[in-house]
Amino acid sequence: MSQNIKVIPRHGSSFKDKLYLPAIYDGVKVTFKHLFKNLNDSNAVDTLEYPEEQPTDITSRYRGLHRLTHRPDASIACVACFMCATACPADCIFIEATARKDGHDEKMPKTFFIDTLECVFCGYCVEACPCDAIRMDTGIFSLTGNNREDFVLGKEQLLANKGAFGEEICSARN
Amino acid sequence: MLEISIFSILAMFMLGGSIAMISNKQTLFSAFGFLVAMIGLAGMFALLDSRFLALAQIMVSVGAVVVLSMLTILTINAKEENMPHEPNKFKWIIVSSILVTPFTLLLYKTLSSVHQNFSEMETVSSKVVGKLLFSEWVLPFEIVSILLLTAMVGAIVIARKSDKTSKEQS
Amino acid sequence: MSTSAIVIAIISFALGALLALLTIPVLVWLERRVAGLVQDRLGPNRTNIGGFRLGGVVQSFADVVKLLLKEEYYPSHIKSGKWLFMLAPIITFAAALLAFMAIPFADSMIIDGESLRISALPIDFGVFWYMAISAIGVLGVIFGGWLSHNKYSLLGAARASSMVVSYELPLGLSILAFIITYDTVDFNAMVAWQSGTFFGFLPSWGILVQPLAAIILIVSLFAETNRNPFTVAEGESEIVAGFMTEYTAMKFAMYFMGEYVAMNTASAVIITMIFGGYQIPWVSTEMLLENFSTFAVSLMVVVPIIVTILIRWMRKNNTVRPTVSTDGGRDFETKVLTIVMIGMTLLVEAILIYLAFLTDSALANNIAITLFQIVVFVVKLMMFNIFFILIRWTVPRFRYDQVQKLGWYYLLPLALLNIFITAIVVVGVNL
Repeated sequence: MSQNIKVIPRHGSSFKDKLYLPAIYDGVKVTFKHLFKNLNDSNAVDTLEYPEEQPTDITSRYRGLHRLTHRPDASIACVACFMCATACPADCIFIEATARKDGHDEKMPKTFFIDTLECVFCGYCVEACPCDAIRMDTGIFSLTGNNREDFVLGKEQLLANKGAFGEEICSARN
Repeated sequence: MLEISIFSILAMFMLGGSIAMISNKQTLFSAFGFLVAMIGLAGMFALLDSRFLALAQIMVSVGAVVVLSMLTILTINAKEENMPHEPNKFKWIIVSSILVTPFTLLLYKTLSSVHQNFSEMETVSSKVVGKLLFSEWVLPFEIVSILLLTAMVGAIVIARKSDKTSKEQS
Repeated sequence: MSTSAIVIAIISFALGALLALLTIPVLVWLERRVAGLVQDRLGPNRTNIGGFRLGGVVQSFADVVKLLLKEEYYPSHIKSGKWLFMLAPIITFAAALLAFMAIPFADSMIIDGESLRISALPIDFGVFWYMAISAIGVLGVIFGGWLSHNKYSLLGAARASSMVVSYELPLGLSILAFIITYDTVDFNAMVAWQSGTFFGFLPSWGILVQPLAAIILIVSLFAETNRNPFTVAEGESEIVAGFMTEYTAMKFAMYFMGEYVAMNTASAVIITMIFGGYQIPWVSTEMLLENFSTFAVSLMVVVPIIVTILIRWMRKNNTVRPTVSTDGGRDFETKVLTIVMIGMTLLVEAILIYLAFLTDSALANNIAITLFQIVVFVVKLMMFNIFFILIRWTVPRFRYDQVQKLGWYYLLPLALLNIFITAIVVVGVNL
C-alpha cells in the first residue's frame, strides 16, 4: 500500500516561483509561439471557414434533419401509429391519421408535421418507430427560413428529404 | 474680458458645487458637488498661470480626497432615512451666510491688498515651486507635515477600538 | 506666436486625438485577432466594405455603428441621478482621453530658433498631468457602480476603485524614482535623457537603468487600467460585469472605449518613460540631424525590405485554402493593396532621394525626422499594446486578496526601497 503513494512536490515555495516573473515569461513564450506560428500561416489554423467550406465529418450516426422513408413502391412507410409523437419529449410531432386505401396497411398519416423550432433532435422518434418510417440520416444540420412557418415541416417536405448515407427505402416492411 | 468670463464660470462652478455639497441629502451627490468645486478651484489656479498648483490640486483633492471619501461612502452605505432630519436647513444656510457677510468683507479687504507684497511672476514652473519649497519655505513645509502626522495619528486613535470596548464585545 | 507654431500645434493636437481615438477600433480588433491566433483560431475576418476587409478591422467600425444605433435604455429602478448615471462613463472616457494628450510623439521641432513640442498639449510637466488626470477616471467607475443600485455594480465599483487607489501608490513611487533619475517631469526631456548610452554599449532606456522601478511601473499600470491579471472589477462568475452591469448601448461603449484608451495611454507612458519613447535605440535626434544623408540612405534600404516582407506575408495569408470554393474578393484586395504599398514605397523613396541629395533645407530634414519619429512611436505603441493583449491571454486572474497583497506587501516596499537606492546613487554620482 505504502509504495503506491506518490508524493507530488509542492510548487511555489522557491524564490524563483515567488518572483512570479519567470513563470510569466514562460507563459508569454508559449502564447507568442502560437501567435507567431498562426500569424505566419493563417491557413494552417484548423478552422472551418464555414459557409464556403462545408463540414466533412458528418457520420451516419449524426442526427440531422428528419425524413420519412418510402416503401419499395414509393408509398409512405409510416402507418400513423403515433409512437413517435408519444415518445417525443418536446411534443413537436403532430400526426393526423386516415384510412389507407393502397392495400399495404390499415392506416397512414393524413398530415405529419414536425415543428423543428421545438424539436430537440434527441432521436427518440427514430428509436420509437416500429416500421423504420422516420429517420434522421439526412445529414442536414442547418435549416433556414424567413418566418416561423417555414420551420414546420409537413409530410411532403419530410418525404422529399433524401438520406445521405444510402438505404433510401424503408427496410422494415415491404 | 475672456479672463473675467472664465473666472465667473469657474466661480459659479465652485459656488454651485459647494452649495450642492452641503445641501444634498444623498452622500454621493454631495461628493459630486465637492468634486465640481475642487475642479473649479484647480481651474482658478490654472487661470492664475500656476499650472503646478492646478495639477497638484487635481492630484490631491480629486485623485486622493474625493476618491477616498467616495470609497468610504461606498463602504458605509448610508441610507437616506438614517440621515439626521433637518427641516429648516435652507433657512439656516441663508441666515448663517448673512451673518458671516461682515467677516467675508473684512477678509476680502485684507486679502485684496496681499498681492501687492509679492513680485509679479510669469508662469510658475514646478521647478521653481520645488526649489522654493525646499529652501526658503522648508520650515513651514515641515511644520505642515507635522500637522498631517498629528491628524493621521489622531485618526488611527479614533478608529482603533479601545481595550474596554473590545473586551465588552468579546 | 508664429504661423509655424500655430500649424504645428494644430497638427499635433489632431495627431493626438487621432492616435487616441482611432486606435480604439484597431485595439478592439487587435485584441480579438490576437486572442484568436493565440488560441489557434482566426477571429473576426469577414466584415468588409466593397471587398476590403483589411484583415477584419472593418468589424470594429461595424460594432461602433451598432452601438451608436442601439436603443438607449435606462433601468427603471434608477430614480434619482439619471444624469450622473449617464455622465459617469463620460468621466472615465474623458479622463483616459485627456491623460493621453501629454505624450510626445516626436522630438521638439526647432523652427527659427523656436522649440515646438509635438504633443497634443505642449506642456513641460507631462508626468504630473498624466498622474492627475488619470486619477479622475476612477470617479466615473464609482459613480456608475453606486448609481446602478445593484449589488454586482456596487461590489465591482468598490473592488475596482480600491484596487486603483492601492496601486496608485506604487505607481507614483516608481514614477518618482524615474523623476529622480531623469531629473525632470517633462516626458520629452525623459526621452531625450534615454537617447544616450549606458555602460558604453547599452541604450540608456529606463528599463535598463531602473529595472525594478520599470517592473513596478508596468505592473501598477496593468492594475490601473484594469487589465488582466488584475481584472477584479469584472468577473463573469463572481460579479457579472462589475460596474458595467446596468449599462447598455453607447453608455456601455463609453466605459469599454475608455478601457482601451486607458490601455493605449498606459502603453504610451510605458514606452515614453522606460522604452525610449519615439527614438530608436542608440540614436538621438541630434545624431539624426547631423548625419541626415546616412539616415536617409539607410531608410531607403530598410523601407523596401519591410514592404517586401509585408507584401509576401499578405500574399501568403490573405488567401483561402484550395478546398474553399470562393475567396470572397481576397485576391482583388491583395492586388490593390500591393499596388498601393508599392506606390507609397516609391513615393517615400523619391522624397528621401530628394531630401538626401537634391536639397539642403534644414526645415525639410527636420520635418522628415519628425515624421520618422512619429512612425517609430506608433510602431512601439502598437507593439506594447500587443504585449498588453498577450499578457491577458497568458496569465490567469488574481484573486482579489492576492491583488491587494501584491500591491501593499510587495510592490509598495519595493518601490520605497528603490527610491531610497536611487536617491543614494543620484546623490553619490552628483557629489
